Amino acid sequence: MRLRPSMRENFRYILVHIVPDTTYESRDIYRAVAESVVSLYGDHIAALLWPSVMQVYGSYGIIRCRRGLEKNLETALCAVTQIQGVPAGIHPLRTSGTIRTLVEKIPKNPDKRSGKAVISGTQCGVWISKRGRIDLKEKGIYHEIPRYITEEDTEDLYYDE
Amino acid sequence: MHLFDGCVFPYPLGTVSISRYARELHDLGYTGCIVSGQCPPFGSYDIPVWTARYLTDIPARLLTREAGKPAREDEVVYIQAGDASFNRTVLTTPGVHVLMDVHNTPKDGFDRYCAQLAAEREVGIGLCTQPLIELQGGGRQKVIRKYEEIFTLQNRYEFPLVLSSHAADITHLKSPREIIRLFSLICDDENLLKSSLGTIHQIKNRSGPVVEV
Repeated sequence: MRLRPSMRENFRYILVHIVPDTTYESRDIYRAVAESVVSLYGDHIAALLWPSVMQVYGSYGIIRCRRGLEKNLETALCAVTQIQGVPAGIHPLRTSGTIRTLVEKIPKNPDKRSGKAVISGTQCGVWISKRGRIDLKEKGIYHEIPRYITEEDTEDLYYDE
Repeated sequence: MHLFDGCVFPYPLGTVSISRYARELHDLGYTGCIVSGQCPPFGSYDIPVWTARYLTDIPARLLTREAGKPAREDEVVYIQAGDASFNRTVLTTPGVHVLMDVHNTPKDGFDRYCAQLAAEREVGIGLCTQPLIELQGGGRQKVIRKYEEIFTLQNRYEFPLVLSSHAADITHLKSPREIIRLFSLICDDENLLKSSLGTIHQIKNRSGPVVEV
C-alpha cells in the first residue's frame, strides 16, 4: 500500500558495537535481537517495535526501530548474551533519525594485527588492536593466563609479517 | 561526577586482566571501578581501580572479625546477603560497605527494618545487571520483583544503592547508559540510577560507622 509521505512511519536508527570484535552476519544479529526483545517484552512490544538490522560493518551495526520505542530496543540490546551460540554483547552507542549520521560515526580503520605475545612464560597467538588491547586467539587452551589483556600484561610482543 | 562499576571479576575468577577492564571501562565512560579479589598495590591503570573483599557464605559469628581486618586504603568490604537475621547482623557490623546479592535472599530477607539500618549506617545495597541478563522467564521475573521491592524501600528510606555489572568476561561489561536502561525496566527515576553509579565513592568516604552505646 502506498502512503502519502506525511502518513509514513517514522523510524529511529541505533548504532551498535558488538563485542568481541569479529565479523557478524546481519541475520545472526537480527535473530539475537529479536529473541531478546521477545524474551524481555513479549510478542506485543516485539510486534510494535519492528526491529530490523539495516547495515553491518564488521563489529558495528545499525539497527532500526519505530520512533518512540528506541529506549525499549536499547534495553533489549543490552540483554543480548549470545549471537549464534557464541557469547557476545551489544553496546548501543548512538541513536539518530538518519543512517548517514550514524555511518559517519563508525571508526574507519579498526586496525587489528596478528602477532605473538609472551605471557607468564607462555607464548600465544594474539590479535592486537587499538590502544594496546590484546585478545588471545584460541579460547580454552590457555588456562593459566587471562584471555583479554593489554600490552602492559605481556612480557614480550611480536607482530606477524 | 563519579561513575563506578560496582563490581567486576578479573582473572582468575574471570577471563579479563585488571588493566584490560580498566581500559574497557574507561572507554565505556566510567571514572573508576571495583575489582573483586587481589589487585597489585601500585598498579597504574587508565581509571582508579579499588579492590573489594567479597565475603560469601560467611557465618554471622565470624563477621566482625572478617569485616574488621585491617584493610588497604582503597579496599571496600562486600558481604553476600542471606536471611533477614543475617542481613541485620551485617548491616550493624562496623566496616561493611555493601550488602550484595540481595536478589538471592529468601522471602522477606530484606525488610523495612534492614532498609532503615542501611540508611542509618550508610551501607550500600548492591544490585547487579547480571541476573536481569542471564536469567529468562520465571527466574528473571522473580529478580525483577525483588528489585522492585528494593526500589520501593529505597524510595521510602533512601539508603544508598550500588549498581554493578558483575562482569567476568568482556561481553558482560555494560556502559553507564546500558545499566540505566536495564534498571529503568524497574525504576523510572533515571536521576536516582545515575547517582547510584557514584554512591560507592560516598560510602567509602563516609565519616565512619555509627557506634551504639
